[in-house]
Amino acid sequence: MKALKVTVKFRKVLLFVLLSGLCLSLSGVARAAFPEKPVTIVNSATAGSPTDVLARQIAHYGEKFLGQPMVVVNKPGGGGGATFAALLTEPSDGYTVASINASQITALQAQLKKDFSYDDFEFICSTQLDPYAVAVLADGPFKTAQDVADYAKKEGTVMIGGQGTGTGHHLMILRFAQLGGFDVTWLPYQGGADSVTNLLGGHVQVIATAPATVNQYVEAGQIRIIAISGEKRLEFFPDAPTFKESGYDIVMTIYRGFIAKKGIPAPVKAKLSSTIKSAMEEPGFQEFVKKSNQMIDYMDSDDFAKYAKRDFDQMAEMMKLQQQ
Amino acid sequence: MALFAGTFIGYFVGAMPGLNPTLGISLLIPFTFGMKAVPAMVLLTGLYMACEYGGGITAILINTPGTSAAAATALDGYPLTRQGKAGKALGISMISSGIGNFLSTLLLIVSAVPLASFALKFGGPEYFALAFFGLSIVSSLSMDNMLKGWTSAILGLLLSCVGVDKIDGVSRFVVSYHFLGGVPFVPAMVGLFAISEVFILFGETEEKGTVGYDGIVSDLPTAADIKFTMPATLRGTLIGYIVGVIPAAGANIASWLAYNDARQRSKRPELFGHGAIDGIAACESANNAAVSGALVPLLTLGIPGSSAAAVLIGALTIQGLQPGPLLFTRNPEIPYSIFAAFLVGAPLMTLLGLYCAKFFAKVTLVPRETLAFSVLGVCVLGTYALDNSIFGVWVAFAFGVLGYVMRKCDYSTAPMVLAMVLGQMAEYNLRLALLMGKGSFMIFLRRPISLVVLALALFSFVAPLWKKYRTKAKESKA
Repeated sequence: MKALKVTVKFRKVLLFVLLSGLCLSLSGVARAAFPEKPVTIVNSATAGSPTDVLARQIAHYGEKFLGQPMVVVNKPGGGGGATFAALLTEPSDGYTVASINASQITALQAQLKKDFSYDDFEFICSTQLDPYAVAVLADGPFKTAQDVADYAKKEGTVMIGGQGTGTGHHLMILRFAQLGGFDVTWLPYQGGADSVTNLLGGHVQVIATAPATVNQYVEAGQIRIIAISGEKRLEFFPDAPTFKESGYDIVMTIYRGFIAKKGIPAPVKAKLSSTIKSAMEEPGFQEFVKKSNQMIDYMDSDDFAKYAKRDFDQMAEMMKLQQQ
Repeated sequence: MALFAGTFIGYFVGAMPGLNPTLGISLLIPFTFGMKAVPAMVLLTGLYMACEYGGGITAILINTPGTSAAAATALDGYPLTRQGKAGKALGISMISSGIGNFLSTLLLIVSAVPLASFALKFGGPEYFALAFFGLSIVSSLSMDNMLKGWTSAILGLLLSCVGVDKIDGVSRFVVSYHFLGGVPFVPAMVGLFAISEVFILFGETEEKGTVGYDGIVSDLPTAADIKFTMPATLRGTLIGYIVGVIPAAGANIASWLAYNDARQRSKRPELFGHGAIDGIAACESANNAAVSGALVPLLTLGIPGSSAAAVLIGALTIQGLQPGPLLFTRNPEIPYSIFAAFLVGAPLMTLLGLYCAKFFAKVTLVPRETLAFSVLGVCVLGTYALDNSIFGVWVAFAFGVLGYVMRKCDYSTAPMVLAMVLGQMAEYNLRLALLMGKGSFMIFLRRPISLVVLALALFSFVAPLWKKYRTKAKESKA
């Protein structure tokens, strides 16, 4: 009985040795063809949030084009720090990439400056590009961006709220105030829904927000959008003018996209970028995006890198404005 | 079917420390992609509701609140377990949860629309007043020793200052980027309550035997017990529902407020903290009622009343539904099916809970060493799962040590947990209110809701001190 056990054990060991040898030799042969194992996507969004679901949908539809599954792992927290740390502990072979947004990249020159650097990363491709919006109560006194500026000049200041301090929302409003030549009191709220609550409750007259957050309130006639920070008007809100149309030279957007650790081989980067592009063109994915009211916007590696750099520098400039 | 599944998963998620309702719903959302909107929402809301039931189980049995809203439950539940009355504590928790849930759902159906505008009245000053009210509970929590109670609370307040300040965006005491969002609360709570308890259990291993006494652990509450706790349950339900309606205040605060209320009304407040069943009834009914409350702004305005409700909004969006002012008119089937699920679910969950309570209570018959090790394992697993990072586990251990030292020196950890819950809320809203009021404190007095709540808070601060002073005066006379 005992002898039998030993042999079984021995056989298992032998099998393991043989198998691992086989695996090693296989991986040696196949090194040229990326990918030979699943790709991990570290996601900075919390599990179940709309942006997380979007990344999971891309992973789902991308599998067909990549030939390997893409696994989404959530590392929220630390203002993006947790995701950056997870990405940087892995080798730069393209088997670990991260899904991030513009504000986390911006944080690299603020809160995250001492832990990470912008130059630690490379940009693979973008998936979303949204403008910001300035919203007011539909039955309130403000009809245009100019009304807000005039009121502020008359009263000495105007209270405007929105998500966080030093965020895109905040910096956009600071720029608006600078160009309009008025003073603003910024009320930093704790998120999109919080901003809307405060606006609807009459605790603040003007908010900066993401267009999708106020979508339904605009439709229900409770909230009006008086300015959009994009290049052109939005499909959803054809009546809302851009800042440019209103005479303010503000163009700001927030992107979401995929990044890799610096040093990722160029062909691997190209493969990942084209996989994500193909995934986003799938009919099933398109239907999901439409159903969930999200806006998608693909940029390839070069365009995205340029765009992100410009955004990063613009933010640096505006942060100086904030500190004044 | 969806309701059953949601309930079972919810019990489990609720009972696991670290796995909170928000995380549970998030994890389940991907499974709802293929489902129709109605069963998907029933599944998710069923889970949300069951979480608050489950959270109380571990709080009572092993001093490990499964959800942060069950922290107050542990104060009286665990002492009962140690007295060998785990079955009674669990039973009361289940029954009051069920009543809280059922009645608050009725309230929800009747009052959702008129209350929606009430929810919007809360801005910075009101939230500060509410947080301040919550903090005043420290006074009654530390009746035995004011100095030690407040020391513990102030330590908690100081810890809540860590992280990026929410008004100016300045990093405060951010040793590494992990602390940007502050000291993570759930690991800290698990450490202070559960891991410190594990250390204490380890210290007792020479005493043979189990935590509870054999024989009577599985006794369920009697009709007299239920009748006795009924006033606390009803008041807990009302408090929970109202606090739940207010968008940025949820089950956490509701359970503490209800606990405090029950204690102040009780004829024998000295029993609180040492196994008062009305204490359990108050906070369990409140944290369950807060779930229905949180659905008021969610369904009528599209505004989440809690972080779990925020995830529910995400789930609705994925179904192609837009939660917001148009939901009731465009997709009435969603709110009505949620109402139905709650009304059917509440008695179901209570019966299930009561049936299982006998078995759950047997946990206390496990030998100390085994129990201590299992609790430790559950704590590590739960704090790791929170955001897939080992950092949370270290935080939990650090707080475990701190909690152990505090408890050995006779400092209660509850005021510290309370202060950590409310510290950030109080600071942020105080400063927001001052921005709104252009630097003047008058804004708190000019707004009726904040004025009333602040007055209540002041009363709640002073009343325990006054009571203590009076009893002392009487004693000296006698």
